[in-house]
Amino acid sequence: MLNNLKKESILACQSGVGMWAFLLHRLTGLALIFYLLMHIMVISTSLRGPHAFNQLLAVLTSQPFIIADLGLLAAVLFHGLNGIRILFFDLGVGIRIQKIIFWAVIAAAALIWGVTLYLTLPFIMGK
Amino acid sequence: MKAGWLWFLQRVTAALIVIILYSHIFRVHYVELGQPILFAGVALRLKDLLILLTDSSLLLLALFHGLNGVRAVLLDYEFFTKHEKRISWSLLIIGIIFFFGGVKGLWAFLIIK
Repeated sequence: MLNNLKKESILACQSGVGMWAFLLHRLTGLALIFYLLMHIMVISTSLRGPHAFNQLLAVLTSQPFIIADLGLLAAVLFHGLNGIRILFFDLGVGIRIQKIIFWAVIAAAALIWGVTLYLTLPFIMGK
Repeated sequence: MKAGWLWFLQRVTAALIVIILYSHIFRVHYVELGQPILFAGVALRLKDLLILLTDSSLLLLALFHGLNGVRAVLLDYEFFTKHEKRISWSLLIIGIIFFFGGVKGLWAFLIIK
């Protein structure tokens, strides 16, 4: 795997867009595993009873956390969609048009994110 | 485990996570957008065996994919390559702790009346 990663990073560095995809994939990946561990701990608060859970979740669904959630969504969308991009490359599909696929990933992520922002805006403004 | 296997499992878990995670996010955060997240609602949702099984598999897949990803990132730096065994074991232990912690949290609702 180490060799593969080195190959990936060498390939990535040769084309500007690929380098950004590689870097963003890493950064969002590290952010997401950190979030996952927090998420497990937060949901496990339920073991301490309804009161503790509801109190914590009330804080976590307040305005600043909704805004943070939009950041989380951006990371989830990029990492997931770019992950599909990587899977196709591993199957030998689309490597020659990797730059176009990168921008397709960005466009799809931006679209879903934008729609979600629109849907979420009343809750950000309302509280 | 051979590095090739870890690389392969990283791809398999990725494909499964994309499907299960996106449906998890859609079901929990879009269908009930703006609804307060309350203990009673979560308790009701987590009494469904199908949801429990998908959530538990997602927990396992995401923990493996995430921690194996951290391993790959760390081992990309020369400073960490000499500690490969220690890193692998530490991440495995973190994974096991969080998996069983998560399972405990998920399945507890089945016995709450």
